Parts: sequence; C-alpha cells; structure tokens
Amino acid sequence: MMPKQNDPLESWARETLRQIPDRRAPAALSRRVMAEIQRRAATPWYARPWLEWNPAAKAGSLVALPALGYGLWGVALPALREAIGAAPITREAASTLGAASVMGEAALSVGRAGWLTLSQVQPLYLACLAGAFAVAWISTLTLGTAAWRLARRND
Amino acid sequence: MSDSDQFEAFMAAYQDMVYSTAFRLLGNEAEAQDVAQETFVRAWKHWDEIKDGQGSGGWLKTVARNLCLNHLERYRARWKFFTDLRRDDDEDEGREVEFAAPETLESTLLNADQKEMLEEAIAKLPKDQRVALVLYHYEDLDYADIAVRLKVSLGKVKTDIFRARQALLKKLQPQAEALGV
Repeated sequence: MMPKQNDPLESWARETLRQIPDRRAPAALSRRVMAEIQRRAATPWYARPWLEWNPAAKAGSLVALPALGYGLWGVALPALREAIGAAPITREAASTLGAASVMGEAALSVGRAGWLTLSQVQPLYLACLAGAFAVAWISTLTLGTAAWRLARRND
Repeated sequence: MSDSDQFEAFMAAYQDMVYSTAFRLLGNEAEAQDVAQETFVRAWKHWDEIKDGQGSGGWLKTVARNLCLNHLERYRARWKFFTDLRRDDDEDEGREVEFAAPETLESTLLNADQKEMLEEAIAKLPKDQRVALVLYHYEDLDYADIAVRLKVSLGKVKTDIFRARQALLKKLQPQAEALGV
C-alpha cells in the first residue's frame, strides 16, 4: 500500500520503522519445534483432536457414536434394569437402599419446612431480601471490576 | 538431504522473520515463542505443499499473523466484560478525525541504540495501538482491513495508529513535542 503523500507523520513512521531489523529468534526455538513435532507424532491417532483424524476414522466415529448411544440406552440399560429387578436383594444392598431412603426423606422434610417458612413470610419482605441480595451482588461485581481496571491501568 | 534436515534448514532461514512478526504483534517474548513454535509445527504438517519454497515466506507470515490475532482475540474475549467498560483512551472510538500534523518531518538513519529503543517502545505501546500500528506498517494491511480483522471501528484504528506514531516520534525526537505533534 502506498503512503499518502500529504501525511508526513505516516511517511516518517514508514521510513523509520523499516530500519528496525528482524529480532533474532531464541536459539532454542528450532529444538522446541522439533521436540513438539516428535511429541505430536508420537500421540496415538485417537488422542489427537477429532479434526486431525483421517477421513475413515472420522466417518467411522460418526456412525459408531449414534450406534453406541442406541446400544446403551436402547438395549443395555433396559436389560440391566430387568436383571436388577429379577435379582434377589442381598442384606447389604437392602441396608444401603434403606439408608439412602431415610436420607432422601430427611432432605425432603427439610425442603418442605423451608418452603413452609418462606410461605409464611410476607412478599414485601421477600422482595426486600432479594433486592438486598442484588445490591450486594452488583456492588461486589463493581468493586471487583474497578480493582481489576486499576490493577491493569498501565498495561 | 532428508525431509527433516530440509525442514530444519527452512526453519533456520525463516525463524527470525516469524518470531519478529509474533513479537511485534504480541509484545511478549514467551507468547511470541509459542506462536512461532505453532507456526512451524503447522508448516511441518503442510511441508509437502510449501517445501518448494514458492511463497513459503508469505505463508509463514500469514499463519503467524493469524495465530497472533487469534491469540489476542481469545484474550480479549476472555476479559471482554472488564475491557468493554470504556477506557479513557477510547474516547475517539468510532469518530472519524482529521489529525493535525507538521508540514515536514525528517526521517533520519537510526543508530543501533535508537533502533533498540524504538523496538522497546513499540513493545510497550498499549496493545490496541501496537497491534494496529504493526498491522499497518509491517503487515501492509490498510485501515479498513485492520478494522475488520480487529473488529473495531475505522475511526478507532486511525486514532490508535496516529497515537502510536506520535508516541514513537516523541520517543525519538523529543523536540517533536515543540512542533505540536
């Protein structure tokens, strides 16, 4: 692109910046590059990004994934459920299921109690609480942003 | 000569150019090394196409530039929330301005110290100014292309480049301030 004839600052910059030679690359750069090339070459094809797979592997994966999904959800899972349903429950399993059931009931009760308490509070108080939370959240965000900008002011 | 030997010779010939392109755009040695490394790894992947040498320098420069711009874009997107808040030096964004400049400016031959000082000054310019200046003066993109590549307004590109030139001029010619530049 030709410089504008009427812009001396642009011409000055163009002529001056051209005088700066290329910076010398670090001596270790070529070793780094060759090591990285070897590392990537040693990576098995399936561990590379999908876009780098060969076309046959890509096509195969596109067919295999839905088939795998269907196999898991459509066949294996129902079969597993059926097998579990038919199997006799052992004492340990029954005890684990019982404990889980008690914990579930307890969590449900706490939730019900919380809901009952909230429903007793007047909507105005709830709105005030939500407002206070929003103000606190916005203040934190604003202060954080201001601190961030202050810290990066000279970048 | 094996492909690997040829490639190493190719790298030796172009590594300064690739590294300089990355360093000028990023202003950071470690990031410039990472970009230079990735550029040559990609060159190795396309070695069959570029080993004949026709246009390989241009290919490398383009790949290095694009990697740098992608890197800067990722960084910008990551901190978009914070940097989107207007900064003091963004006042002129989007506004086309005609800049006052002195009638004449003499460009002189730089000595080694001045070249080093100028290189350092470019690296220390604010990122927006540095990237726009380098794309214009070293990568030969025009204002409109730069605006598109950086996803900013034409006015901001002009302002950034003008301010970058001013900063460099003041660094080299302190008397320029007296000229009203």
